[in-house]
Amino acid sequence: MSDSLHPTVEAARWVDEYGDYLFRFALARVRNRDAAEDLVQDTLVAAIRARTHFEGASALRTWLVGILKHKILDYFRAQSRTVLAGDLTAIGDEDRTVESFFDRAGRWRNPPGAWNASPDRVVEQKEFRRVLDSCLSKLPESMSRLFVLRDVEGVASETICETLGISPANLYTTLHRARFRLRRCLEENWFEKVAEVNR
Amino acid sequence: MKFPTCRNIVASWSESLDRPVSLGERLLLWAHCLLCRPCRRYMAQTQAVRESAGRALHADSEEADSSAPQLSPEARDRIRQAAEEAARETR
Repeated sequence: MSDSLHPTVEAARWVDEYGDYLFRFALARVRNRDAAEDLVQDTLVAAIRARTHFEGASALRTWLVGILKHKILDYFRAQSRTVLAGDLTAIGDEDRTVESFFDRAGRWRNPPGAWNASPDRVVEQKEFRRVLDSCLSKLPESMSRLFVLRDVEGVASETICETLGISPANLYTTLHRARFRLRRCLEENWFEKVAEVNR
Repeated sequence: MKFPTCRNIVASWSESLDRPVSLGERLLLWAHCLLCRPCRRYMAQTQAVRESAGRALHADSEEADSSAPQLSPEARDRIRQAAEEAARETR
């Protein structure tokens, strides 16, 4: 914290300056407003207590995001102890969803269609991000949690298994289903619709 | 030797993103993809989805217009009080 301001004034400034950014960062990952607000509070309180360790080598926001990422992992760890019955049913359904794309011999029954644009070209469009967000929301919670940790945050597989107490086989299977479903959801709700409009 | 099916190949490919794979596994994936356009397409599209998800979440956090999610006034007050309290405790 700067020497020029009283610590409590500076603390209030951190909330005003970084609170909303940290909230959006957390909300996009935990997908729950109350949890995201709690995570912002935990992050800022931890940062203020540890402020003498902030050496200024990185931007303050980068340092805060680093703390928030640890808090999100802690949150997921706590959540993973609660296995939701609805989640298990949804994962069972997911198995059937993936299976329905293949015939009995394991060949594609519904092969992936050609897309008219790559997701990395349309990601700047807000509407595309809304569709992606809605596709992520449709995943069972335990599935989106693993996808966010592994594919968005790039957390190592071993760290995820250790932190969430799941087996590597469980991680690989769940990630495969999450990726399969997200690709399909985007195909149905974005790429096929865009192709229809252009027809 | 039994050759893997498309169903097995896409699952193996996904697994290869999360753990080190042997040379034999890599060769099987490569050989299958050489001959199978749907699997090649699936992998390319899924890889693009993975990358765009990271970029989209980042872009959402950066979005600061009035329609972007914000802390509720109650949460902001509560967090400000907690932050000020932490600052007082650690002066």
